[in-house]
Amino acid sequence: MHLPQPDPTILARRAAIISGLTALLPPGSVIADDDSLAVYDCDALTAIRQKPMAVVLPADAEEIAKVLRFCRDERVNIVPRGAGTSLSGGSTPLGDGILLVTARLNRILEVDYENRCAVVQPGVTNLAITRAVEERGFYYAPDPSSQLACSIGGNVAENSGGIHCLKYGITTNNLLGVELVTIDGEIIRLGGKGGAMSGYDLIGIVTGSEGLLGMVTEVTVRILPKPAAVRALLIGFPSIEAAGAAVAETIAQGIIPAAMELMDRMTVEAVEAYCGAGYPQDAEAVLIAELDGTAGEVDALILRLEDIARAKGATSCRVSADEAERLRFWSGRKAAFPATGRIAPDMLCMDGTIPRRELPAVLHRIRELSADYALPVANVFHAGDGNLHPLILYDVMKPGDLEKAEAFGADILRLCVEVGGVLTGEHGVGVEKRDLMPAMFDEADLAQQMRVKCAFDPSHRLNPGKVFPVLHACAELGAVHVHKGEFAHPEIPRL
Amino acid sequence: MSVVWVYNAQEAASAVQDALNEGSAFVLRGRGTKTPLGRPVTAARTLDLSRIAGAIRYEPEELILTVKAGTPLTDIDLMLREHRQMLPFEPPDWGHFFGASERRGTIGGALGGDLCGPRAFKAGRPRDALLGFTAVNGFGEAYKAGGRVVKNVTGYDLPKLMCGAFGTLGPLIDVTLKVLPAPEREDTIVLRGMTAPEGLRLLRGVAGEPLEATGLAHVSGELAKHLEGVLGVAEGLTAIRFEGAREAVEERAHILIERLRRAGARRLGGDVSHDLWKRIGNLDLLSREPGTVWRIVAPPFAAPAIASEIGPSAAQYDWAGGLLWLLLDDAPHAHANLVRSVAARHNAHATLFRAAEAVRAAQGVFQPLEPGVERLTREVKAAFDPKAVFNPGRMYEGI
Repeated sequence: MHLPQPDPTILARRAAIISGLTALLPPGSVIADDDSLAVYDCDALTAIRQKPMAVVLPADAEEIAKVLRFCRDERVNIVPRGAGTSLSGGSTPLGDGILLVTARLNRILEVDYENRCAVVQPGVTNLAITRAVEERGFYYAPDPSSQLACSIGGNVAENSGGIHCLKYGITTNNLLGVELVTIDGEIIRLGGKGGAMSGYDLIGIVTGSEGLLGMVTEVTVRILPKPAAVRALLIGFPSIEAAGAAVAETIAQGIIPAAMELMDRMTVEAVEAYCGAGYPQDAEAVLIAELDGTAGEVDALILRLEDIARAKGATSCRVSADEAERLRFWSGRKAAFPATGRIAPDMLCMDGTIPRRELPAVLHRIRELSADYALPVANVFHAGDGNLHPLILYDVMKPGDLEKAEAFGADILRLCVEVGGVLTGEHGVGVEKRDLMPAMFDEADLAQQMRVKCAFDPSHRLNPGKVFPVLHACAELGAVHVHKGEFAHPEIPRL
Repeated sequence: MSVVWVYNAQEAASAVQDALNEGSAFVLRGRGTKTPLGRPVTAARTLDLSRIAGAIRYEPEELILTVKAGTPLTDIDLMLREHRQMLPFEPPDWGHFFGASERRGTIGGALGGDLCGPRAFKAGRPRDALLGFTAVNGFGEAYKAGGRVVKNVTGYDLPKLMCGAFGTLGPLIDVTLKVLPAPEREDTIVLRGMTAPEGLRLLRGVAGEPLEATGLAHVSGELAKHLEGVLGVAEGLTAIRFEGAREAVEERAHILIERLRRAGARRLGGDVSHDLWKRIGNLDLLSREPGTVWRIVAPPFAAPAIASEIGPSAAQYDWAGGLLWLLLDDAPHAHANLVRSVAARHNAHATLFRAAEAVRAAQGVFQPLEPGVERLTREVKAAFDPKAVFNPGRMYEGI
């Protein structure tokens, strides 16, 4: 992992750039002193740190438009940032770029129950949306584990997931509209309360574009009525294979639980030591399955799931009797990161997705790699959608440990791609997985993605150094190579 | 017009190379069931994609299906039914509505038009089901995007762009789709005699409750009269569908019918319910009435106002009002100014869905784009197809 070398021609103009930005915005909108910048030197990918040239805190879309136009004209790079919780370095600052922070755009603009949506500014946290609508019995479905802190603007940029994805989808499936400021400073609206838009699905392409296409300044999300009943099962299995078979059988029977989370033995031991969630200690794998719906439906489906668990050899199976017990089941899973963090000083959280049936083989291979690298690894798995989070434990103070952990992580992600999966299920590519992109996409694939980037930001000012291993000049990507007079396949019949 | 048949990505890519050499363009065609949808396209050649057909990989336990894009939807239905699964977005069969000889089109066509049925407001549109694809771009290159798993944020979400692009970004070759278990059971609650505003208010209320209805439609009397049997009377029909596990459907339908019994609610069982929603999704009732048809996607609450400001002779409302089908008299102007200005005022998007070719050519089909959005749309088109080889002008002038 490395960031691009800062462009000396931009650094040389630092003072002029900062005074230019300061003149554009109300007082207090630009931070440029060295001590204050230190606060912003990384996001949640703490292994990479770099102070930005300046931090800019605009208050609305018009100010963002001014800043973007200025940066385009003055050839300054821009790194958008919401709450800075990206695990892939999506908002890692650049030394020759400004950090454009949406923290001041933090208002819920409208809750519209008739149209079942909320209109919010990008700096509003994910959980704040649910808090704003829960008194009327609604919620916002995508629930990344950082939902208390992460911003909805960041969720749009990263197309964030969560534990309820299989049933309720990820960010892109729950968005109705966005307001976007382009690099030219144009403020455009895509979609709205009705969801659809005319022309191409630009909401769809902006979502998950990791801040490389524009700045989102307003988001309209769908809100859903809260299920009448929610209950969970805590099931212990003698092997990962048995747990995987139970998940497959559940889906084969046509049941889509609201969530299915699988933890391996190492995770279970870590969380028990950390918070005593009451997980079965004799199990090789622990599955939490959550069902929601009307009360009778949930009761009926729980009986079916108990049958499946028993048939697949579960060694224990508990059903939450009340809300307190359901939350206790989850408390362990939600503490998985801090709990494993207590075993070792540092932790690298990986994020590949695999076809579910490959789980036993992939975990077996991860254990082998763990032995090779002499680094322990704990695994949590969104079993419903195949999203695997191996937590690699290391000690940054030990020389070479970080490099070893990164190499181990890269091996895991390449393994995910080999078995038919992908490099990242919900954390994004960012800086972290940028150089692994060729493991999944060949040159033609990446060229087509970069052409889309060029359609929005031809001068590559927005978040350079993220997502693409090599960002080609747009003129080169847009060239049509016409082979004059020669037909590529003369054997094909043509009428 | 000459036709080029291609059997795989390489052949499609070299056909595009040929077109680039000649400076010519293609009309893309699967089974031709959606030809009357969109602006008329003039091109020297047709690129026939119907031979790029067949299953590639079906993994029922992973809820994933990969097929060639020219595979007929009927074949996909058969394949999925064997494992009691389905496409989430309920692809409609508009063959009859458009008077096509082939009734059901291809999966590529359904994705290209982002065509979906009554369940889509709940289970998503094709854009929500397409996980990955291979395609050929206007540079004459085959490429892939997305992946073969449900949860994936690796690189740009190009599948979203392909859905609803009506082939203007190039032909899909292989597609990977998310599928869902088919419901064990479906039940529908129907009420008669409500006006559209009354029916829609009821439907919006149900949508805001944790009942997980998968169909929320209201059909005006002028259309409801075409339903056979006891349902076929000339008064408004309001319908609410539940699908899922037996216990779930039983409980939800029970809750609702108890509440609406006094209003005359009736319960329709599996087959009758299934048939009713097929007719709604396939526009079976509208197909029996001559005239111009507009499709409007809107914020649900705006539906009654949109309809009253436009004043259609008949209307079918779906998605609790989020989707309106309005029937108007045929006219050379297709009432385009009226419909589009009303739609714009309500933040809705109107499509001239059924009209003569000359009318579609003169009036355009899709809601005009705001200048900023139009500029980006043109840039995106150029990013995939700079020489306008694919379906030139199908969506907008030059797009």
